[in-house]
Amino acid sequence: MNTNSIFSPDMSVSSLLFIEMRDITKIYPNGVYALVDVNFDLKPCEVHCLLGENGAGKSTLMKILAGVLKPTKGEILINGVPAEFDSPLDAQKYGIGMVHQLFNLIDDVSVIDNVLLLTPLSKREKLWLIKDKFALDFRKFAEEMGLPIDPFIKVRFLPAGLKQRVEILRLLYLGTKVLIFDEPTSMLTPLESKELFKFIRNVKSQSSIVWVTHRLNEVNEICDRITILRGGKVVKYYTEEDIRNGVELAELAYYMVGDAVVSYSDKIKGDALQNTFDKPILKIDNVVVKDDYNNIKVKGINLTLYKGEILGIAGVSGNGQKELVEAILGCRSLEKGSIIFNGIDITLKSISERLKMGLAYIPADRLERGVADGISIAENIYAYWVNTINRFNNSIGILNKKCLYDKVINLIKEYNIKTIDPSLPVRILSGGNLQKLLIARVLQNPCVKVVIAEELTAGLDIKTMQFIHRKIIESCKQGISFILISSELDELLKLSDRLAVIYDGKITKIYNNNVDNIDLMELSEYMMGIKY
Amino acid sequence: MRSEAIVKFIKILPIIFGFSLLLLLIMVLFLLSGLNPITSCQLLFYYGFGTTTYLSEAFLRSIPILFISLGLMFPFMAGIWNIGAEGQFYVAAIVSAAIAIYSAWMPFPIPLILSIIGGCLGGAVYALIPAYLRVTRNVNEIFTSLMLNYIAIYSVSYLILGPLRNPTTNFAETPPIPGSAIIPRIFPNLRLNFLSILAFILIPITLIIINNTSFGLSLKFMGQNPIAAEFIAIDKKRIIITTMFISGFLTGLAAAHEVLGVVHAVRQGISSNYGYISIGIVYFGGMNPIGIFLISLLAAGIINGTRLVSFFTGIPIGLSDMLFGALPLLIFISNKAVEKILNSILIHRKRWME
Repeated sequence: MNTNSIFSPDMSVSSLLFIEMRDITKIYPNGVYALVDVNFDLKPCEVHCLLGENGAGKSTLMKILAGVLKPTKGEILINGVPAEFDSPLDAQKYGIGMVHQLFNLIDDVSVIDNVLLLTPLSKREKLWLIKDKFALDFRKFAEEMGLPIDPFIKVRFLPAGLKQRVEILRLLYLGTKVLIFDEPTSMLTPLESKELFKFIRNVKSQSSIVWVTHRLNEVNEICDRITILRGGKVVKYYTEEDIRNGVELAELAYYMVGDAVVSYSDKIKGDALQNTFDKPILKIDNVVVKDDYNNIKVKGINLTLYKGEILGIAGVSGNGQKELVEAILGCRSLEKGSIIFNGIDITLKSISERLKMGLAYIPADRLERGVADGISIAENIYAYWVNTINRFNNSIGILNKKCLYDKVINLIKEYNIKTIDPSLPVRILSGGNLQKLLIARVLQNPCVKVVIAEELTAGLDIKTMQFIHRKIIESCKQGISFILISSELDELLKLSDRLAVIYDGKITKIYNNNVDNIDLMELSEYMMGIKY
Repeated sequence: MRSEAIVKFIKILPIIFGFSLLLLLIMVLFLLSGLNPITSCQLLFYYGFGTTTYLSEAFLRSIPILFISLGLMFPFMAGIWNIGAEGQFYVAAIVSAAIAIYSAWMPFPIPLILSIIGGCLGGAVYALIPAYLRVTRNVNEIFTSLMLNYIAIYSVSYLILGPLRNPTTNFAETPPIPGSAIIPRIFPNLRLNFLSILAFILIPITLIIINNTSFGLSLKFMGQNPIAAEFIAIDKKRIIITTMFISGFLTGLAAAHEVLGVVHAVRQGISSNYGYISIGIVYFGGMNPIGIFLISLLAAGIINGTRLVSFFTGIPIGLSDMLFGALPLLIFISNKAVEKILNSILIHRKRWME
C-alpha cells in the first residue's frame, strides 16, 4: 500500500485495488440504522464473503461501495487514499462494479447494446458508432475469459445464467477490478452455480471479489475470508487462516441468526402422517397458454393437486411458471385445455369468481400484486376478506368494523407482525412482515382450499422462514393444498409432498414420493432440459 | 390512535396551503386589474357569504358542485378518470327539461318526479358509454369521456336552437319549465329548494359508503393498486361500471336541480362549467365528502363574490373562471410542497434526536 502516490483514477484501474471501508454508518431518511461503524476491507486477488440475513445491512454496505448510496458517516479508502463516490459512475471509474441480483440489463436490446451503454466512447464514436467492431472485440474478449456469448442476441431470450454472464463480462470488459456479487446464485440452477464457482476461481487471479450471500454452503466453495453482519454490525470476522482450518457451517449460521438454530437442516415435516392423498381438488388438463408476446409458453401441462398436499414446482424461472400460475388464477386465458377446481370446470370463470371459490394467491412481487401500499395495514387485510368472504357484511352491506378490527389485532399478534398500529400504511412494513401479512390474510380465510404461492420465503430471514414453513404445514393438516413455485430448491425439497419439474413449458418429471432423497444432480438435469 | 390523528392532520394540510395559494392568486389578479387587493378581498367575501341572501346564494351555487363532486369522488377513488361530468350534465339537463315540458299536462308531483328521475338516468346512461368501452374494449375512459362532452354540448345546442327552441322569446333556450315540474322553494324569499336538501343528506351517506362498506374499501384498494386489486378478488369491471353510473347519476341530479329548481329552462352554458370545476374540488376536498362539502361551499362563495366584485368594479367577469382553471395546478403545488416540508421536518427531527 503506497500512501504517498499521487492519486489518479487511471492508475488505479490498471493496477489492483486495495479497498478499505472505515467506520461506515448509514442511517436512512426514515430513521432506520442500516449500518453502525462497519469496517470492511478487500485485498487484491481474493474472494471476501459477506454473510448475513436479509436486512442485516449487506446490500446497504455494498451499495455504498458501488456508489449507489452515500454513507452517513465513515470513509472509503482506495489504495490508502480516501475516495468519494457520488454515483455508480464514479465507482466505475475506480474499477468497482456490481453484478445485480436481478440483473441490471435492458431486456429488449442485444447484448452488445447493453455493453455499449456503459462503455466510455470517444466523441467520434458517439456520433458514428461501428457496432460490429465492438461486437467482435467483445466476443473475442468473452472467449478469452472462457465465457463465450453471442453479442447480437437479445437479452430477453437469454436464460438467467447467461444474463448473469453478460453482466460479469460487461464489467470485466469495462476494466472492473472489483466485482461485487449480490446474491449471485439465487437465480441459478445448481449446475449453473457450479460453473460460476469455477469461473470465480479463475478470475480471482486478476481481480478481487465481494461475494454477498445468505447461502451457507457456498462459503466453503470459494471464499477466502468471511465477514458476518447482523443488525448492521459486524458480528464475526474470519481470516484466511480460519478458513483454511475449516469453518463449521453451524457456527456461521449461529452468528448470522444470533441464537441457536433449531436443527434447521432437519426435514420440518418430521414424522407427519403420510396422508394418502386421494381426493383431487385441482385438475389441470392439457393446458396451453401464450405469453404477452404471443409465444406459446405453457405447452400442454397436466397436473393434479390432491387435498392437503404440497406440490412443489421446480424450474429455472422463465420456463412457463408465471404463465401457468396466471392461467390457474384466471388472469390469462387458455389456448387449449381445461381447469377443474373442486369438481367444477372453472376454465371460463373470471379471476374474482375463482378467488371467491377458494383459490388463493401469494405473489412473488408482493408490492405489485399483493398490497396497496398507500392504505393501512388493516384495510389491506379487510379488502381481501370482504371480497372473498360474505360473512363480514350485514344485511344492508355495512361492514362490521369492530369484528374485523378484532380479527386483525389477533392476526397481528398470532403472526407476530411488527407494527405499532394497524392503521398505519403498509409501506412502513419490512419485507418479512409484509409476507407474514399476505400469508396470514390468506390462511385466515376459511374458504381457501388451494393456495398458489410463488417464492414463498424469498428475501426473508431464517426465523420468519421457519415460522412460515410451520404455518404452511399446519394448514396442510387442515386440508388446504398448496402449489409452491420457487427458485429455492432447498425449500421445495423440504416442504413438498410431490415435486414436479418444469422445463420449457412442459412438466419433465414428477417425483411422486421420497422428495427428501432426490439426487440433486439428476434434478438439475431435468431443470436444464438435459434429461426428460 | 394518536398516529391516526397525525395522519388526518397531514391530509388537511395541503388543503389549507392550497387555499392560501388561491387567495394569494385572487389578490394578485385584483392587483393586476388595478384594485386594492385587501379591500377587494373583503368585498369578495362580503358578497360571497356576508348576508343571509348572499350566503343562501353561495349554498345554492354549491349544490350542483357538491352533487357532481360527490359523484366524481367514486370513480376517482377507484382510479377511473371520468372527465365527462360536463357532458353528462348537459344530457341530463336536456332530458329532464324535455320530460318536464312534454308531461306538463299531468298533475303536480308526477312530472317533477319523472323529470328528476329522467335527468338522473340520462346522465348515468351517458356516463356508461365510456365505462362500457373501457370494460369491453379497454378504451381509455379519459379520452372517451372528454370527447363525449363536446358531443353532448353541441347536441344540446342543436336542440335548443331547433326542436326545443322557446317559440315566444326565440332565444337559444327551451320553453320555461311548467309549474307542475318546478321544485318548490323551502323559504319563499330564498332560491333554495327541496332538492337542495338531498345534497346535504348525501354527505353522510357517501361517507358511510366509502368508509364502511366492502364496496368503498374495494374502491380505495383499486385506486391505490389496480394490479393487486385483481388478485384479491375485486371485480374491476363491476367497479368501473358502478362508479361511473353513480357519478353520472349524481351529475344528473345536479342538472335536474339546476334546471327544475333554479334556472327553470335549459340555456347555452347551463352547466356554468360545474363539470370541470368539480374535478378540482374533489381533489381539493381530499376525496372526502366533508372536505368536498366545505370546499364546494367556499368555491361557490368565491365564484359569486368575484362575479359581483367584477360586476361592480367593471373588471372582466372571466376572473372566477381563471381562478378555477388554476385550481388543479394549485392543488398539485400544495400537495408537493407539503410533502417536501414534511420530509424535511422529519429529517431535521431525526438529526435533532441524534
